[in-house]
Amino acid sequence: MTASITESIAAKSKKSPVDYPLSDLKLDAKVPSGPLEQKWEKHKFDSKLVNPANKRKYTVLVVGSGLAGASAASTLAELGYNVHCFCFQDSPRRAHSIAAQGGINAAKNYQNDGDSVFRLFYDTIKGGDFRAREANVYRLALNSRNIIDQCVAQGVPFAREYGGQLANRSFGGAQVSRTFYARGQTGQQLLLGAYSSLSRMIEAGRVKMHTRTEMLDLVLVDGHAKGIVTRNLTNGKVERWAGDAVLLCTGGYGNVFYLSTNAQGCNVTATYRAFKRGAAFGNPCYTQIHPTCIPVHGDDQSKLTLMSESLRNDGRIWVPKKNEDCTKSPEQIPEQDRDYFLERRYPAFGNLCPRDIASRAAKVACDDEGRGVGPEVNGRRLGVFLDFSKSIAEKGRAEIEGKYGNLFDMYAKITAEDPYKTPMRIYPAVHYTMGGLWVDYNLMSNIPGLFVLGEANFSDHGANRLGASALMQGLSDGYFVIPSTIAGYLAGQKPAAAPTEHAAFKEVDGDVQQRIERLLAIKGKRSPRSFHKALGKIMWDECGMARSEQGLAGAIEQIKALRAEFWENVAVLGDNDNMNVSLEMAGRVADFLEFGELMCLDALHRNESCGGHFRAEFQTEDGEALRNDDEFAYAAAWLHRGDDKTPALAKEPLVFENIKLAQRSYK
Amino acid sequence: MADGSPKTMTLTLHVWRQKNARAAGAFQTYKATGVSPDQSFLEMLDLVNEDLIGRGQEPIAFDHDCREGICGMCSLMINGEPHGPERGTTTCQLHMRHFHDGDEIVIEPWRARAFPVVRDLVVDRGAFDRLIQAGGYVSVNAGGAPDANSVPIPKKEADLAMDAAACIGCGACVAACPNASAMLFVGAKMSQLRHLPQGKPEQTKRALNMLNRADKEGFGACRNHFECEAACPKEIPRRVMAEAFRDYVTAAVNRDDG
Amino acid sequence: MSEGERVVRGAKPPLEVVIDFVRSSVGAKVIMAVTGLALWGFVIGHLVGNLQIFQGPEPLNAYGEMLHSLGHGAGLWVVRAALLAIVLSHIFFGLRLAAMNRAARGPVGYRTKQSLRTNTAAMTMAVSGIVILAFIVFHLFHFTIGGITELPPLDEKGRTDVFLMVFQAFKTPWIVVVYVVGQTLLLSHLTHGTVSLWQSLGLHHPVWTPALRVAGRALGVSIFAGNIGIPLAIFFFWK
Repeated sequence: MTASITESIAAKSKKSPVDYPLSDLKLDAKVPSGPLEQKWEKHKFDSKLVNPANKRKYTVLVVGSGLAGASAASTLAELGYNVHCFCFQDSPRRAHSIAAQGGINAAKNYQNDGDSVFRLFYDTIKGGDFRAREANVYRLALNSRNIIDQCVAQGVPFAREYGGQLANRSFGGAQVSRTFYARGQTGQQLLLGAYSSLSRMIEAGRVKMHTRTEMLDLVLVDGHAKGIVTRNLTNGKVERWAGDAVLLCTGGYGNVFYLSTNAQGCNVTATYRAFKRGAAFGNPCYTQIHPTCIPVHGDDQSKLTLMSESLRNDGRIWVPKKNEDCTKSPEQIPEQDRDYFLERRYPAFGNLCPRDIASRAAKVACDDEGRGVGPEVNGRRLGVFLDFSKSIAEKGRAEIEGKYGNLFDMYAKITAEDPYKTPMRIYPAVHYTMGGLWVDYNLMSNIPGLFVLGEANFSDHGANRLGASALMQGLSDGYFVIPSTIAGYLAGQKPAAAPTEHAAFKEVDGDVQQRIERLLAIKGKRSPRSFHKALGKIMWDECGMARSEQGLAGAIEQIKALRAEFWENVAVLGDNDNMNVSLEMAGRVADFLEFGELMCLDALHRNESCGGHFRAEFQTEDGEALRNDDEFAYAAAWLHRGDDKTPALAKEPLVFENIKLAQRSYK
Repeated sequence: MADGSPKTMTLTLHVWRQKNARAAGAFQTYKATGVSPDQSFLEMLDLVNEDLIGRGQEPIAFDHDCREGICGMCSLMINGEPHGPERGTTTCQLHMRHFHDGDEIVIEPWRARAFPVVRDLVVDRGAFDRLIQAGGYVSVNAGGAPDANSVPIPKKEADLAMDAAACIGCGACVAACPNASAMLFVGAKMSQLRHLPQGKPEQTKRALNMLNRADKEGFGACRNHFECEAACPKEIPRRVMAEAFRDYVTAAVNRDDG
Repeated sequence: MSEGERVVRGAKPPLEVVIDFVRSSVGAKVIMAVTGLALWGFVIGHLVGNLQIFQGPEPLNAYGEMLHSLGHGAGLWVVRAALLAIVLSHIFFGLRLAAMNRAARGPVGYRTKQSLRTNTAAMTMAVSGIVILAFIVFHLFHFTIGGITELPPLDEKGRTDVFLMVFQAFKTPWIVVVYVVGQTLLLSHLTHGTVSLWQSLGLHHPVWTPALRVAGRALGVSIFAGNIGIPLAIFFFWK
């Protein structure tokens, strides 16, 4: 590992081995003119409106029913549009937004501690390592306040103070208390709020809900997104759906790593299929690795479990100083032989430094220095201690139990270890993907009529997302942004322009059927899961917390080989007339096998380190991320050119008019 | 968790297999070998499925998604207990260390008229969605909500609402109930909203509509066995059902059927 | 309030609302609880009256006579009619719910099913209810209508000799057995019923519900003790 880093640094000045064409596509972000504070109001006023009587003539297809999808579908239905909503789960209430624990930020300044819309905007841009679009982020901060109002009105049971006012906490290293929460189930409560609104619209007949239905392709008519093709997961039926606009609210692609904190079903298929139909994919290499997850326990693991990073408020992270101590139980290692590496490396923030920095430090300790603890999995010990003994001694067990009781119980349930007695073991895990389909200020991709909301788009978090911001973005997009911006598009469109008998639908339908038949016809020996696992290992090793030119180039070759094997040897049993879990998984893995390559390409091209993207060649002398604002202050948007061709790069320059670019420092 | 390879187990599984809703089903017996005590129950099934695929047999279909106990998608009747033997735990959070080498495990789908089997262990819980559609919401459109702090809510009421709101909609209550009643599920949603001022205006109408819908969907009537309360992985208390009955009677007396 | 401001309560006519309520599962359940509560009250009253047997023939026969002469003889029939209506509703809605619930379980049952919190009393409500019904019919023929055993002649004051009737009956072993079995099932029925009915009526309280449960169980056991006390005392101890 160390040797390859030195080599790569030496190779830094040489020309990059990756060869990709530049696209001549001009990406217009359509950011409104005028001062930052007035852009959104001005834009809403300037946008065209759809006559209330005409709204029901327009059909909007919403794919996904998480925070973004459910809020968008219900809000558009409330406005009078005719809405179809699709989800692959058995109910729209299951989408993975439900698993967010910590909370949702809002610039309410209820605590009178100096918070403001501008401060939330500033924190988000800085936290994103200056790789997000200013205007979008400001709008997000602005809408954050309305979200809380809306959710309370829906009956979301946020935590309250004894006086009946909403409670807040500080989260993810923020210096103000702006995070609203509902115990450790904020995501669940917000999703159920949006789901209840959606249910109300389904009852009213204004949303038609399609559960256990997976979008497999996008239909373009005259260059506009006018429909989708889906597969019914219970009976295999391939169906066409025509609409006047398509909204992809399909979440992130963290499962490309196989092991992540994502739900098992989370996949890239919808956005990747859109990419293959011409949508630009923005910053695919930006992934967030969350530092406080329960480590991998064995080779058959399917899922990593996140524990709230609030644990870092009272827990101290350490590994043994000596490699030979790694097999000892923590009690046997004396104080002077413990390395509290975050406190050592980042004295000012210590255990509370941002996610990307904490994660990388743990990786260095385990991977590079071999000082990881816990059971050996595939020859490595990947875990660091999160130790509460000092806090318990100082504050008493009762206080710690009051704050983290449920998390300690969860940890004990999974690991069968008692964290009150022995330190927890944690390790970083893939948690969120900042990249996604490129969208303009209207959340519309470069394909007219194709809108992308929530984690599925690339827009608001730059290269790293702050804690408690994902929920905020999903709901801002769905409740408050799309209702305004979609009208601007639809007003210029003739309603119900393309029926499902249109040739374009037939063609895409044929492609989908053919692909299904092809998968079923391979009749190979190796299970889809085993391919997924193999891909995940490549991605985690080479495109995970630290990346290098050599590693990424190698990864691309490995992925290509794996993909070739997949199409020859994957075992997809059963038929397409019944529920077929291997067929579902195979289709998703097939897309991951292409998408992984795109991620590596993006990571390879970005010759800098920023946020969640850390290139070993680009670091300061003391191992910190080294940004290159002169060359890379842009959003990378990749365009498909054909299956055997390298995608082309289009760039959207990021202009910072309201914030001065600065190197992040948490020392 | 000591070092070295942990002891693995061999288990005998009796699993319900059914090709689709129309087909007849039957139990099949499988051996699960090399099961690690640290695996979750679903990871154990993954292992069995990998083995089945290797032998050219179709894998067992079961519902699952988040695998962290919150999405409510996983189900399974494990040796006669919904979500298995650990209380307050979903199947995805149930670990194999609670079983022993050589155990026989019977795995069945949720059984209820309102939850027809889709395939193997997968059932259709769409009836739950339709119960929420009948009134499990506050009728408020996006936009125009007053400031979130304009109505103070006593902490105690907010906590009662949250206790009920923890429901994940998995259906264990129906599966466990000798009468396949959905009262705990319906009661949980009603209770969440009745303890908040925002839910008050529609409190009794909601009761009438949701409970009538439950009858229509073919759920049974609650006879106060409280099996649901014991089976609930989120430990929703029986209180929510008493509240629901009270609201229903109030609604009927006041003719809040509008 | 002027005409224009009048609040319109619901769109449905009142009769329809009542029918809907009675047809609903919750309505049926509430009717079970209300009729159950009334029957529970009856059982207590019945026992308290009967316990007068321990005071000798005079108070018991006078009590019997008093019941017969209530409202110039009509009162007893009013009470009997009401009781009959209550019992029939309890039975009707009980059976209706049982049928609904059987259907709700669906076509295929579990191969293995554990009971987690329920008890035998709760699981056998229908069975215990049917046996109790049979017992009541027997009891009516036995002491009211006649036909099981020969009724004794009137007492010296010209009243039904309730005391002697009971005394003679409970010297017969098989009749004692029938009564003990009937009361055991009543105890079982009440054990679940007394806990269940408050929940069905929507009464739940962190302190009072457990207290009511204890009180209900204690009362159930007391009723059982009192009711079997009479035949057993007569059979074993009275000469």
